[in-house]
Amino acid sequence: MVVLGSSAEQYKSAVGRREIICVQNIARLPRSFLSLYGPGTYCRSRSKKIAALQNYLRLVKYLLPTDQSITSAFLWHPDLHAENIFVHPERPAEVLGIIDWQSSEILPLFDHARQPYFLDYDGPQSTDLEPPAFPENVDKSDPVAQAEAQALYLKMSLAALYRRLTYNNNKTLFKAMQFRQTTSFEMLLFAQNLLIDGEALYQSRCLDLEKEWTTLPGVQASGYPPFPLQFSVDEVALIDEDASGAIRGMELMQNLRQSLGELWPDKGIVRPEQYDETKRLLKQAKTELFDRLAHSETERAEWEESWPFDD
Amino acid sequence: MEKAAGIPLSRVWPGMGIKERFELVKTISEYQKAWMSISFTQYGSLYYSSDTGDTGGCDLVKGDGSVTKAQRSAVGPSTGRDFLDDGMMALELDRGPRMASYSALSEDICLRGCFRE
Repeated sequence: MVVLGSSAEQYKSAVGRREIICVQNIARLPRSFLSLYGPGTYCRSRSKKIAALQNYLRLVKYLLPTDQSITSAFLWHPDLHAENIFVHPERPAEVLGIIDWQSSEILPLFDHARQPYFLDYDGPQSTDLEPPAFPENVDKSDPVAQAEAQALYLKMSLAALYRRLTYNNNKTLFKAMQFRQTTSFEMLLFAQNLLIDGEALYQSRCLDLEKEWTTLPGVQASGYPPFPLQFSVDEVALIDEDASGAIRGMELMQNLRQSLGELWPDKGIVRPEQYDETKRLLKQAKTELFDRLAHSETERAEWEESWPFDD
Repeated sequence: MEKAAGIPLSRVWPGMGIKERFELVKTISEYQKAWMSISFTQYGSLYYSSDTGDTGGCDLVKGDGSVTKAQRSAVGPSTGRDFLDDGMMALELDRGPRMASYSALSEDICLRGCFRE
């Protein structure tokens, strides 16, 4: 059965090579909406992205699941959110159709095995099979807080019911969902988007991985090979510096997001009636940020260059 | 392509109680189970074979490991957004398809599958 694993490995290696080719050939690195990069945070570069991807390629065969049943190729809907599911107007539990199949892929099951998007919520995440406990510390005299707690509890319960249902009726899918909770899967997943973002933290995760190396199932199944990555003292220092810079950049973006509240352009998109106000606020935030962060004309120009929003 | 019947779930979801919501979750869960009743021997995206120029069709693997041929369908290059967004559509990339691992197969089929690439 060892032979079988090699096709999933070839596929996942191809993903890494795809990212490298994109990083090398794309005219301009895509903007990131996760982090604000510039002098004082972290400076992105093609070479840093490629270094992270090369580490991914060295690790990939040890990151794959050892259970073949969850690497089988299935056709799946990639985006099950509430705009894509069509239901009966009078009997809304009755599904009449699902749209938006054009980017469907036939992929290893573990790549698909995410909770359907329409079950997602903001709040504490869980992988438990048991129903969540109702939050205790809610102000009983505050009807708004009560309603919010009730709504969150409903969402958390529904997600738990989905997990329980999958566990009972579809063990293979449940196993694939469990694999997604592992370090191995995270190291596979985060590499898939390094063209856009994440190389600094990926390198930092690579450094940390050495400590848990022998706990990875793929490493155990391969007879405990030595950790395949090596970092010089200088490289370690640089990776640490880049990671803290990237985290500062993420915090800046997070603050910006909070300051815009409802007007935040998620994935770069806003409602037409909010467009002008969002633009005004972003422009204002930009001026304030640059005044605070740029210490010279050169740095200001670099920030200007990397600012992800249009004026 | 055909016009989808019904209304988007997003319009009624906020007004649905937990029982109704759970009914819907059950339906989607059943769909996922149905999607898993057939696996493929390649990773990629699904096409009509007449659109790919590959008239050989594609292999479908059932849960018991038996393989049948679907003449009308073919697995072709990936149409996933990881291959298209952010200017990637314009780049020359290996978009597959490529051999998949498939379990529950007898050894000879598995070896034949692996040597084909």
